[in-house]
Amino acid sequence: MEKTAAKATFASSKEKRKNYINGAIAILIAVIFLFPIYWLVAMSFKSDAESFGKIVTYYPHEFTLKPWIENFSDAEFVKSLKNSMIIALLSMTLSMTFGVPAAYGMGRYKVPGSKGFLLTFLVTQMLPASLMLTPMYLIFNKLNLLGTYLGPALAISSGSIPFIVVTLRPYFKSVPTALDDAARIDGCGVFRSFFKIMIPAIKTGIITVVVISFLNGWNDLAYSMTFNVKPEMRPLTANIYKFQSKWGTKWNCIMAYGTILVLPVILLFVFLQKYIVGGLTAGAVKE
Amino acid sequence: MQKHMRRNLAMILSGAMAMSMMAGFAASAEDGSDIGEPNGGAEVTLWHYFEHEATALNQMVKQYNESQSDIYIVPTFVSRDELMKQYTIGAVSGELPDIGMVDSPDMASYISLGVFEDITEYVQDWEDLAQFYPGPMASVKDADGKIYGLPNNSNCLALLCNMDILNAAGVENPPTTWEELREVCEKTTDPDNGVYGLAMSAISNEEGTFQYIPWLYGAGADVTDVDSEAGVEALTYLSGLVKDGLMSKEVVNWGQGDAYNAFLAGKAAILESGTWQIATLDGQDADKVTFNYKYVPMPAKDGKQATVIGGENFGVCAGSEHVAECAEFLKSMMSAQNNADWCEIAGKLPIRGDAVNLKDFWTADERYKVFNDSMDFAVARGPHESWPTISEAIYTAEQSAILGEKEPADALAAAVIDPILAETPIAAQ
Amino acid sequence: MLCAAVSVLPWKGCEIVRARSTIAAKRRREGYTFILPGFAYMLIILGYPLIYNIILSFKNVNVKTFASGTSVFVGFQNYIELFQNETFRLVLKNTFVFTIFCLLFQFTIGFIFALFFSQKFTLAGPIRGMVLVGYMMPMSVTALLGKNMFDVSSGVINDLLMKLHLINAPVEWLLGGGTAMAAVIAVNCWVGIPFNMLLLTSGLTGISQELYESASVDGATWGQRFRYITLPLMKPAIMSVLMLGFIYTFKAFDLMFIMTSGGPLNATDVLGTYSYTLSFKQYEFSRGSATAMVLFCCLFVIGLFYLRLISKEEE
Repeated sequence: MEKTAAKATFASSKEKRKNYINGAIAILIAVIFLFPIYWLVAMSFKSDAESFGKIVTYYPHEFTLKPWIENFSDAEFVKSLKNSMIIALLSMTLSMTFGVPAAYGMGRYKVPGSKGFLLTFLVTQMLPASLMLTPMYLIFNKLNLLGTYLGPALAISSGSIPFIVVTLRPYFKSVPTALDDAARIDGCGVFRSFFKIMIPAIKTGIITVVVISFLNGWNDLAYSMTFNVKPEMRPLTANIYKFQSKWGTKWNCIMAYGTILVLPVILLFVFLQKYIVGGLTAGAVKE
Repeated sequence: MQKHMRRNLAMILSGAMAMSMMAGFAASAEDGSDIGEPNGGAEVTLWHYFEHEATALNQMVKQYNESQSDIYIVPTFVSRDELMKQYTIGAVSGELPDIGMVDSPDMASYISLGVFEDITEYVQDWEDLAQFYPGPMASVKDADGKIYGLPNNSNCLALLCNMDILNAAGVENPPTTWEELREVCEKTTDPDNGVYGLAMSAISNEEGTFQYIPWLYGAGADVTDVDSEAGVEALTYLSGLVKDGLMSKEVVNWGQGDAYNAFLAGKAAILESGTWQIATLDGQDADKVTFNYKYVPMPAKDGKQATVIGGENFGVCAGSEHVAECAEFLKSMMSAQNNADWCEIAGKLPIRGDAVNLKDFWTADERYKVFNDSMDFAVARGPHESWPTISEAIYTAEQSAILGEKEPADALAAAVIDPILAETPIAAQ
Repeated sequence: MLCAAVSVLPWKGCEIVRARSTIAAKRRREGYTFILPGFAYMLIILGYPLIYNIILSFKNVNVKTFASGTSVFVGFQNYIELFQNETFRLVLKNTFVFTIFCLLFQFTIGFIFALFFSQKFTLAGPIRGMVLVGYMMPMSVTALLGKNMFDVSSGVINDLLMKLHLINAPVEWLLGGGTAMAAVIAVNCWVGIPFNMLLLTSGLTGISQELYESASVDGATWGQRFRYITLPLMKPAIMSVLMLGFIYTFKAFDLMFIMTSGGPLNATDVLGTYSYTLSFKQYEFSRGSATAMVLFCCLFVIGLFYLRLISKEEE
């Protein structure tokens, strides 16, 4: 008995050491990867002179909130925040609605021409977005979608859907067939088993594509600007033009702008992670 | 523990968001976007990329909206790059604003693409037309002399000298010739403190070409013979400044704003500067101007002096249902009085001689006087429908010499401009 | 289920064959019900642009022929001219160099990170989340940040390297061809590594822990577990990550457009930026489309290759 106790202590001290080493490596990684973020934030609190200065300063020597105020003092700020939200949520919803079932269909069903479908989804990603602008503009013009939120959202989703299909297809494939067979025997319809069994079974993958398709919409500039010139419908990303012009690049304002753009996403991510954790514990009862 | 951290982080972040939103609400008051109440006229859209000048533009639009009731003009800011993209797409789709602003050297391409409406019939009998300067006026016409818009403002380039740096280096007066400029650069360059003699923009876009033209023409060459002996001399002079450490190699990545900011930060003694920068020196950057400065015209070489004309035009876009009314607005916008008022507020040079004479603004202020006088020897770019391609050849040659990739003569020999001009020559002004 | 039915009711063989075929037909219908809406969506939104670009690339539409309507079909002339053009060949080479180096770094490092952070240790979760922030930033901001940090005279990277005595004089990052390419690759990897890590992590969490545990009990080393459990099970996810990574990297645009404008002297110009410049800055619409089609064809070949790989894998 003493022996096992000793073994246990040994194991846990080994675990502890491993924990420290891993922690140290992780911190090193974080320092390297977060330095640009730190630079971004530090820059956003520097005065104009300091941000253009001859000397590189590692923290704001003349701390100022001016770049932040310049970002927020835009009368349209709240409006463009709202626009960004609408475009991101709308494109995310569209992408998920069309993308996830397609990924499921291609991952779980052996249908004739399924490789052709997959190729088509891939092919649509193979043209540079900039050259899609003109022909897409022509379509949206015909469909009366210019100057609406739906135009940019449709365009953005056309990038997210193939992403979802290609990423989720292997996940759906890897779910044991026993799981949905069981559901069928229980009398679950096709759609019920899709929603109740399959989606929860690959929820990490689902969360990943939710985040990414949201980001695609949130960070979009080209589509939202091209298909929508109304100033009151511009997304937050459009503000970049305010700080980069013939008057030069206002580094501190640009950096504050970047921080402002990324904050809501981090927030969303934090909340979503919390939700995932919750989802996992709820799902654990079954397993 | 992790959960805790997340919650705390979330709280801090949402707090930050809430604060920032409040800041947003607090700050959204006066922004100069008043354009007058709807006057019952048809709504026409006007796209522009004026930034700090937008208030002055809105004021002028308000005045016009209140003076008549045929059209109600609604100006919209669209950034320059975005606007150019919209014109290109609009050429295909036909979706364009009613009135659009355009950088003068770009107009020829857009005329060729059918972006602008021929308004000759509305303006040709306008007696004021005789007052317009030929350079800016040429940029709104096609090869057949048809008129597609009206010029709105002009600018050109001159040298802006930081007199504190010059004086500290023992230079009393700003340079007036190429030799003097080089001497001053040699005296003021201070590598230990990161100070260069000259700053300019040699970036790979139109701004780079714009800033190169004064040197090209100053040497006695022009765009039809960039690789002539004189043309090579111009590039040898500039790349020599870089090679000898008198100008930063980084000019190839600097837009005119970046060069200006470098000058403002004391990183350069002299800047190749545009008219519009006076307004910024007086306005948003007033607190950063902690030194004495002086404007002088571009330096002369062998008694020859040159600078380049810049400026924006306004045109009526193809497909507008109110071409006549919009043309009327352009005429009113560019009347002598309005043009003088507008250019004074916005810190630009008028495009017509009688507007300059209305005020002593461009002659009393010695800085504007430098620019106004320089217009006598200022040259226009183009007009040419393929100007962007010509421009690319010029700035590419300039960059390869400055970066030391090629000798100036080889760099310029590689600039293929002749075939383009052989096909369509630049219209004589 | 079907088997059970067959064994219980052997005399109803005929009907069962029919039933089986109707079940297969039903399964097919179900499959199509899931696939077709998304497929139709893509065809409607992107089919036309694709055809539009193909047609345009075989014509000679430019600033001269556009408004006058004098453009004609010129066959492969645009393509021939492109391949004769020195700049285009450089751009093509740049695109491959950029893509290959980016994929190499971001996939390997991303995979290592995914494995590393899938271990259970105190800081794993929070730091994994932090690394992801780079991916969340809009490319336009990232590119400007890169431009600022790699600035020669006032950039923090040179300053830092000098302070650490790794270099004696500032590196002329965005002023030299090779160094500028290295800088854009570095910035792209800063975004790409978290992206790869995110996708591979969710693949890893799909692998049942029990597999590893029973392998450990059997005395398998870490390397063996990686080789015989992780890799085979991750293969489909790995292939889709590489495929997507290739597509996104190969058609990169924003990063170069903003950080270097393709410079210095086209050293970081890639097919995406080059086609944009041709179409939107020089109004050479047909040549811009032809460039885009070259990009398309390269990716199409890669796409076919991917399909063959997964067909083999899944059969």
